[in-house]
Amino acid sequence: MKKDLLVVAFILFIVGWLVTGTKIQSVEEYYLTHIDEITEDSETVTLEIRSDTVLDAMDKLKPGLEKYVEPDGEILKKTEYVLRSGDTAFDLLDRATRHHRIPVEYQGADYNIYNSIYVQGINYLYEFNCGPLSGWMYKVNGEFPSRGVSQYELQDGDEVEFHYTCDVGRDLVGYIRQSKKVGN
Amino acid sequence: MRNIYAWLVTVVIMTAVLLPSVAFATPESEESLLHTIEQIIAWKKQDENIAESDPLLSKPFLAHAGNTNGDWYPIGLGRIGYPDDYQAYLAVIKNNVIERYKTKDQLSDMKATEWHRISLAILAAGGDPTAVGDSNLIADGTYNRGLKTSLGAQGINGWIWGLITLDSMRYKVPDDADMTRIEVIKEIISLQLEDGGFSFYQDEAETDMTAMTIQALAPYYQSMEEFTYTQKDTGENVTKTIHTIVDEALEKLSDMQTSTGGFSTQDDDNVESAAQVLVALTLLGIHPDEDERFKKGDNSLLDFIMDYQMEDGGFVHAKTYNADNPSSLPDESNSMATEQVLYALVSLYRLENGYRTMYDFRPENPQEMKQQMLKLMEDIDDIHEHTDAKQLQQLLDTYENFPIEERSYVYNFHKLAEAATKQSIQLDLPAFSEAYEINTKGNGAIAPIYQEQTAPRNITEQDVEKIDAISTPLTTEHYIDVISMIDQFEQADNKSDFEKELAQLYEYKEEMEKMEAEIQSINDMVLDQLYPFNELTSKDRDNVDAILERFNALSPYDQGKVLNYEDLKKSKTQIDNAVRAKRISWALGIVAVGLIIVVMSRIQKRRRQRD
Repeated sequence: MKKDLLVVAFILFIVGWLVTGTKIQSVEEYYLTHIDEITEDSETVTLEIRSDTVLDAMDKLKPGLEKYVEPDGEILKKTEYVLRSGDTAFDLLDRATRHHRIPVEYQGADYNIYNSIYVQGINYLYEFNCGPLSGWMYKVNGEFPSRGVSQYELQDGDEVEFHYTCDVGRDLVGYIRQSKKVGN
Repeated sequence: MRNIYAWLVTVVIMTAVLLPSVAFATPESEESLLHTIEQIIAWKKQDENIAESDPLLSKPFLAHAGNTNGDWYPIGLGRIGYPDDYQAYLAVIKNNVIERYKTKDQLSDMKATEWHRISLAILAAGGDPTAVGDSNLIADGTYNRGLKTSLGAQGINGWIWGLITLDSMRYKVPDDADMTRIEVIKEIISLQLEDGGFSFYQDEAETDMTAMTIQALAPYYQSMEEFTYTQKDTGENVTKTIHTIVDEALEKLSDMQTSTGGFSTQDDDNVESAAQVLVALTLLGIHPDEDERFKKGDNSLLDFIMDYQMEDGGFVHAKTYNADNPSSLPDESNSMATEQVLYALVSLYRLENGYRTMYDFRPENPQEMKQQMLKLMEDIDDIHEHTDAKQLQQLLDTYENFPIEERSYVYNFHKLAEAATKQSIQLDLPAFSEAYEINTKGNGAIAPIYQEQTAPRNITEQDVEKIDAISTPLTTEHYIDVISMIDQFEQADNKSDFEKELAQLYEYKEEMEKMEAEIQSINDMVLDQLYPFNELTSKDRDNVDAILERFNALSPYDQGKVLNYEDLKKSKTQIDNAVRAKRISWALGIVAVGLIIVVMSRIQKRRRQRD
C-alpha cells in the first residue's frame, strides 16, 4: 500500500513536470538561450525606429518606395531590450532589427574618418531616398550624439531612437546642427 | 596676386639653370616634398602590415579596391608615379566593378560618386574607365547618370565629382546624352551661397565643400565664358564667369582660414580641410606660399599641414582630442587624414614641376609648349599700366596659338584679359567648355616622375609557385591573389606556355565566387529562417541543422564571414534543448503510463485478493 502511494506520488511528479514544461539545460545553455529575456535584475534599454519626416516630404521620396513608408511613421514601436555588456547603439539596432526581421544596411567602420559603422538604410529606406539631405540619425535620451552609432556605448535605462530625416535633422524634434563629415 | 607671379619668375630664373626640364620649384623644396610623400607611402605600408619593399597595392590593401578606403591612396600614388603594382590594382578594381554591375544598382543606387572615385582611381593606375568589362563608367557615372538617378541625388558632391570625372580626360559628351557639360556646371554654380562659398547643408560655407567646388571649376577658371543662371540661395538671376565665382569662393576661404594658417570643419581645426584647400589652390595654379590671401601672419597653409605629421610618417586628423570622435586620436596617425595630405602634396608637386593638374589625366604636353606657356605667364606677369595695346595684342596672339583645350594652363590669363579690356581691345575667345569635348576613351597617364617602371611581361616559375601556394582547401582568403594572377597571366607574352595554370586559376576564381555566394546565402537563411529565436521550436530542427551543416563545410576563414554566428549557435542550442525536452517528456510519459498500469493492476489484484 505504501509502495503504491509512493508510485502515485512519482506519477504526479512526472505529470507536474510535463504540465509545467520544465526544461533540463546546463547553465551555459540556459544563459545562451535566455540572454535576451528580461528579468527583474536585467539592465535594459529601449529602441524605437521612426520615419515620420517622410510623410511630410512625400514629393521628395524616390518613386517606388511609397509602399515601404509606414502610414503612422512607426517602423518599430518603443520596445525594451536587455542591455548586454559593451553594447553600442549599433549593436542594439542590429540585434533588434534582426529579431523583428527589419532589413538594415550599413557601411563598415573603416570607411569613414569617425571609425564608426554608418547606417545607410533601414526598412528599405536609404540615405538620399528622400532628397539629398536625407538619411538616418539617432537619438539617445532625447539628444543627438555627434559620435558614430557604433562608438556610442549604452547604459542601463538609455532610450534610443532612430529617425529618418529628409533635411539633415532640421526636420526632427530637438535637433541642433552638428558636424557631419561628408565625402565620397 | 602680384606676388605669385613675382615668385614664379624668380623661381623659374633660379631653377632654369639647375634643372633641364620645366620646373617651378627650388630643388630643395622639391626634394623635401617628395621625401614627405615617400614617408607617407612607407607609413601606409606599415599600417597595412606590408613590407616596405613590397608594393602597397598588394594584399591586404587590395581588398579595399573599389571602396572609399581603398581608392584614394592609389590615386595619390599614381599621380606621382610612385613605383607600385598598378596592374594588380586595376585587375582587382575592375573585377570589383564587374561583380557589382551584376546587381540592380550596379555601383550604387543613389551615390554617383561611386562611379567618380572608381573612374579616377582607374585612370590614376593607368587604366581606362570607359572600358571596364562591357561598361563605360564615364557614361554611366556622368552624362548618362540621370537616366537612373540624378547626379545630384546625394547633394552637391554628386555634381562636383561628376564634373571632375567628366573633365578628367576632357571626355566628349555624345549628342544623345542625358546631360551636357554646361548643364552640370550650371547645377554646381547655382548652388553658390550668398557668402560666396558652398555647403553640403546649403546654409553657410564649409571649407571642404567650397574647396572641392573650386577643384571642379578649376579647368574653367581662365575661360571668358559667361554663364546665366539662377542662384538658388538668393533666388537672383545672375550672369558670371567662372573666374568671378571662384574668386568669390577664394575670398570666402581666405576669411575662413584660421590664425594658425589652417582650416576647420565645425570649429575643429583638422588637416583634411586644409588639404582640400591646398588641392583647390594648386589646381588654379596658385602656390599657397605665394598668395597673401592664404597666409595669416607668419602661419602658412603648408606649415599648418606639415604640423600634423607624426614621427611615423603619417598624419593625425586633429590635434585636440574630440570626445565625439574617440577613435581619431591626436597622437595617432589616421589613414584618411594621411591619404588626403598625400594627394594634396602630390598636387602641389605637380604644380611646382609643371605637370598637368591633379585631376587632368591626359598625357603631358610637349616640353616645348610648356616652355612657351611659362614664357607667356612671365610676360603677363610683367604687364603694368603702361604696357601698350600693341604689346598686349602680341601676348594675346601668343595665347591664341595654344590649343583652346590647353589654355587653362595659362594660369594668369585673366590679368592679360583685364589689361586688354581696359585698352578697349576686343576679346572674342572661344569657351573652354566647348573645347573640352575631346576624348571618348583612353588610358590615364602615370606621371614619369619616378623612373618608368616596366612590369615583368613574362611568367616565371616563381609565379607558378604562387599558384601552388594557394592550394587546397580553397578559401576566399586568396581571391584577391587569384584575380591579380589571372590578369598577370593573361597579359604575359608567354601566356601560351601556361594555359593549364591559367585554366586552374579561372577554376579557383569560379569556386571562390561560389563560396562567396554560399556565405551570402547562409547569411540570408539565418536572417530569414532563424529569427525571432524565441519562436524556434523542435520543428525547425532540420532547418537549423541544414544551415549548420553548410556553415561547418566552410573553412574557418570563410566561417568568419558569416554574420552573427553567435545567433546560429544560439538557435542550435535552443533546438537541441527543445528536442531533448521533447524526448525526456516522451520517456517520462511512457514511464508514467507504465507505472499507472502497474499501480492499477496491483490495486485490482489486491481487490481480487480481498474478494
